[in-house]
Amino acid sequence: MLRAFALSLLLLLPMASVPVASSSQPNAVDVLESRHTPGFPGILNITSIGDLLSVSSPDVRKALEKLLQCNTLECIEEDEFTANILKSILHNSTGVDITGLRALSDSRLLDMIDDSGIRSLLESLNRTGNVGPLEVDRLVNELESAKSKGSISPQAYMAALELLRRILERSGNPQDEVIERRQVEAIREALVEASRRGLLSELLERISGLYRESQRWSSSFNSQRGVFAVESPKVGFELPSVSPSILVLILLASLATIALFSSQRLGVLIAGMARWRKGEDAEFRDIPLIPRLYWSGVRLVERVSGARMDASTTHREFLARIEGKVGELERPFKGLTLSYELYRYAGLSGRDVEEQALRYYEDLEKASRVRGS
Amino acid sequence: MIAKVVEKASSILVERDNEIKLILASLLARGHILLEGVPGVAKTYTAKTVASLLSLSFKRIQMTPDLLPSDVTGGFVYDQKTGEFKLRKGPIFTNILLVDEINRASPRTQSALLEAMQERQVTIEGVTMPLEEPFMVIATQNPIEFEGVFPLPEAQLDRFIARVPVGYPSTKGFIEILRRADEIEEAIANLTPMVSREDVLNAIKEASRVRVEDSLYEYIARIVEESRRHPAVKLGGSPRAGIAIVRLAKAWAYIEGRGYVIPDDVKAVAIPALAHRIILNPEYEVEGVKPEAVIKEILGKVPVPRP
Repeated sequence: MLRAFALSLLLLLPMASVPVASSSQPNAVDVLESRHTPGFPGILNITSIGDLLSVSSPDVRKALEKLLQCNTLECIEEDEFTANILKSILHNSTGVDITGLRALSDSRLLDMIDDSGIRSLLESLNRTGNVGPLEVDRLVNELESAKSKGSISPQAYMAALELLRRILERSGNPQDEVIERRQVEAIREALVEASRRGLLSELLERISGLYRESQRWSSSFNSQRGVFAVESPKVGFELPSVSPSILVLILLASLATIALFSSQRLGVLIAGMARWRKGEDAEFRDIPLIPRLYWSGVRLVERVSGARMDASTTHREFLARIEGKVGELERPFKGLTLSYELYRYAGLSGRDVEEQALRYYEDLEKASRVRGS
Repeated sequence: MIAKVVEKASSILVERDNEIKLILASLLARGHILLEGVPGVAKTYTAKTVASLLSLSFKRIQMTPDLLPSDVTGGFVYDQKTGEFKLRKGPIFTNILLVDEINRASPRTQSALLEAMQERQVTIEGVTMPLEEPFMVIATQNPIEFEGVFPLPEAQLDRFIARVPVGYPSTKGFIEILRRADEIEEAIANLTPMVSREDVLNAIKEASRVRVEDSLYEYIARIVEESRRHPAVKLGGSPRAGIAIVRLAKAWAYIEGRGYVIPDDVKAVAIPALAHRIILNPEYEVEGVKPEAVIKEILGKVPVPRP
C-alpha cells in the first residue's frame, strides 16, 4: 500500500509542472480569437494547427489545417476527406451538421431556428428583401448576442447564418461573403471549444503513457447554460502496465524539477510566474511587461465585452468602445490603458510604472473573476 | 493655455470644437488652414473668434475677382508732399490673416498670396520683407459656386497644412444657434485676447518638441503610401503630406495637454491634412466618392502600431 502510494507520488511529481505548463501554453480559444487581430505579436507565428490545438491524430490534424486555410464552406467541402472528418467531429461534439445545411430549403432552415426574435427578423428580411447594411448589422448583432447568451443552439445559429447568407446572395448584397466567413469561423470556434479539454489529456498521455483514451471528443451543448459541456476522457492509472524505461524517465524528470525549484532561479521563476499568470498568452512572451499586461487585459476585456480590437483600432478607441459594457472591469482597464500609453508613447518606464500597471492588471483579473462567478 | 482658448471658443460657437482645434493646431504647426463650406455655416465667425482670443494682429481680406496682388501685399505709393515713393504695407503684414472666399480672387492674386504663405516673406519691387511670426492664413471658400470663381489648383491647395470641411450643425445644435444667435454675435464682438504673442510663440516651440515614437512615423508613412495605392486615387499624398500629418499630430497632442503623440492624434488630423492633397480618378469622382471617405477607409485598414 505504502509502496503504491510512493509510486503514485513519484508519478505525480512531474505532473506538478502541468498547471505551470498549461498556464504558459497558449489557450487554444484565445489564440484562435487573436488570429483575427492582425498586427499582434505572435499571430504571424501561427503557421500550423499545432500552434492552436494539441491534436495527435494526423487525419484530424490535416482536416483542421485545411479548415484554417478556408474562408468559405465550399473550400472546406471541396476536399471530401476534410469535409467528412469535420462533419463527423462537429456532429459528435456539437450536433451541428455543416454540409447538410446547404441542401435544406429556406423554410426548413427557418424551422430549425429556436430563437423566435431572430426567426421573425429573418422572416421579415426574406419577405421584404430589404437587406441594407443596417438590417444586416442588427441581425448579426442579435445572433451574436443570442449565441453568447446561449439562447440559440449551435445548429440554429448555423442555420440562421446560412439563411442570412442566402438572402444576401439573392439580393446581390456583397455582405454574403462576410456571413460565409462567419460560418467558417463558427465551425472553428465550435471545434476549438469541443477540444479544449483535450489539451490536458494529451499532456497526461505524453507524460505517463498510461492514458489510453481515444482522441474522440464527446461533448454536448447545454442550451440552458449556453456552453459546450465537454466530457473529459477517462484517465486510468494502470500502474502495473508502466514500463521500467518510462519509470526511469519519470524519475529523472522529477529530480530535474526538484533541482530546478531548489536552485537560485527559484526567486526569479516565482516572480516571473506572479507576473505571468493564468490568462496570459504565449504570444506576448517576448514583449516587455507593460505591453504584455495590456494585451492580456485586452484579451480579457474582449472576452467579457464581446468587442474585438481589430488591427486599425487604437487603444483609446477600444477603451471608448467598451465603455459601459464591462462594469467593474472598466476602471482597472482604463488605468492599464493609460499605463500602456505612457510606456509606449511617452517613453515612461521604470519600476513604479511597471508596478502600477501590474496592480491595474491584478484588479482587472479580480474584477473579471468576480464577474465570472 | 491654448486649451483655454479652445474651451472659450467652443463655449461661444456651437458644434465647432473640431474646427477650432484644427485652426489652433495649424497655427502651432506653423501652417495655414482652409475652411471649406457652404455660406452661413460660421466659417468666418470661427476664424474670427479664434483670432480674437489670441493677442495677435489680425486682418481680413474679402477676395473679389478685381483684387490685385498689390492689394494683398502692398506696394510703393508716390507721396506728393515729399516727392518720394513710400512703401504701403498690404494686409498680409499681420499675424493672422483671414482671407474670405479665396476662390473669388483671380489666379494672379491667389498665387501672390500663396507665395507669401509658403516663403513667409513678401517681395515688393525687389525689396524682400519677412513676415512677422507667427503668421497664419485662415482662408475660407465655398465649394458649391462655379460662377465667378477661380478654383485653387492642387499645387496651391498643397500650401495649406489642413483643409477642414465646415458642415451644417445637427438639429440640436441648430436649435441652440437659433436661440442664441444674438448672444453669439455679441460675445464675438466683445472678445478679449487670452493668450499673448509670446505665449503663442512659446507654444509653437513646445509643440514642435512633442515626442513622436518611432513606430508612429512608420504608421504615418503607411497611411500616406496607402493613399497612393488606393484604386480610387489618381494622385496620392506626397512626402509633404506626411510632414503635415506629423506636425499637426504634434500640435493636436499639445492642445490635448500631452507631451507625446498617440495614434489617435494621427487619426484625428489625417483627414484634414491629406484629403485636399489627393486627386481621385474621374470614374470615382463621378460616382460621388469623396477624398475624405477614401482616407477614412485607409485609416480603417492600416494597422496601428503594436504592441
